[in-house]
Amino acid sequence: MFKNWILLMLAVLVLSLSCERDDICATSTATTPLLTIGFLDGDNINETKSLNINIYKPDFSDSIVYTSASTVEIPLRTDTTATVLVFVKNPNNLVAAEDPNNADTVTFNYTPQEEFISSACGYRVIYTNLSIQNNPGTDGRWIDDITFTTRTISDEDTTQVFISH
Amino acid sequence: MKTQLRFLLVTSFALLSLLSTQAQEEDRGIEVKEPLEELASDTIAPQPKINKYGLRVGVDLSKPLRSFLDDTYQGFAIVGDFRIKDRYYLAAELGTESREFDDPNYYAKTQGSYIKAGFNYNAYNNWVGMSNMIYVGIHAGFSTFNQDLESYTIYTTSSFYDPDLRSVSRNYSNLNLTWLELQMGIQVELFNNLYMGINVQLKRMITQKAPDDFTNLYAPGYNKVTFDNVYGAGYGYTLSYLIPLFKK
Repeated sequence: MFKNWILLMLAVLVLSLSCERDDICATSTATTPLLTIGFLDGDNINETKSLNINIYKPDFSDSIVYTSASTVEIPLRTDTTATVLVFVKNPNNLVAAEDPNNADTVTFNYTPQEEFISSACGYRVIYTNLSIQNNPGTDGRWIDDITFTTRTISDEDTTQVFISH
Repeated sequence: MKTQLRFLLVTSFALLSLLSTQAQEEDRGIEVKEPLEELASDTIAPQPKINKYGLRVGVDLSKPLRSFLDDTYQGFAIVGDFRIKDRYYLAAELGTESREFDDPNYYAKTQGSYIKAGFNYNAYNNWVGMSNMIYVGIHAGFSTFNQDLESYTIYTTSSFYDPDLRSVSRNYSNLNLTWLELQMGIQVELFNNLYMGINVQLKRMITQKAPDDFTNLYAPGYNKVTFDNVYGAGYGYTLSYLIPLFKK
């Protein structure tokens, strides 16, 4: 009786400890979303058109590099209402004849909204009222047009913005 | 012996049904043996009054010990029970706890107090003159507490920008949580009227009042509140003294 009881108590204790949920935020959880941008052919906007692109912070201190990509995922700043990024098409390709290196400075304006996710993940930010301005700079523009499928970025399942070039 | 076995069976089934909802399958490994032949005496002798009845009060030693070992925790609780019938006890616990959460995503602190009350059933057949306990009990708990959210970092999978740390010092007060608890434990008389006990507690949350833009991380008495899960667990390690009032 006594032995059974101790065993039962130990079993309950072990079970209850093993049932304790992990404090690690699961990767499947929807956290702060990245903005997904798709690239379309400027001559025929029904077709995607891949490109090599480097996306830089305005001070060129850090970059995201994509090679022959038809979509890119970029993080937006959560602590302010605008993110400025430099989109460089065909980086390091300086041959003028075939689509040379070209930088456009793109400004994303939005309203960040804070949301609580869970005790493991904490808080995230979603973005609403997204608008985009393009500053082509001295080397002219490579971005022909920017279209939106939605102005709210709350997940990474959809392509919210298309850029045709 | 029969009642003990029946009781063991009932508790194991109760536990199994509780645990199976969490989709945890585990062989419990408890064998229930056939009861031995019962012996009945021919004559009923008048029994002397030897069973002590009274108020047993004590402290939960696990809480001060944990306060000493764990910098993020402070707690204290007094426990008590009162024998109302041969095998039945009224039991209660009063306590206060605080807990700090230094999570990578937030820094928060919970503090408050709680009360638990219920019945214990002693399943142990004592030898004459002894008053040890192997018990199971159903307790209801009520916890009232505050939470301070000092700061948090917006969770992101990208490390392109510096972490967005927000210092807020938000205070959420008047939070509460109620739960039902299945308690199992033993109480052993060490010396005359001095008892040592250990117990384990399985808890099921009934209601909770949580902040709108945050969650209850911890509830005093209930322990850690897991997100999207109504079950909790705990343990106690008690030292108590029986104030004998009368004998039966």
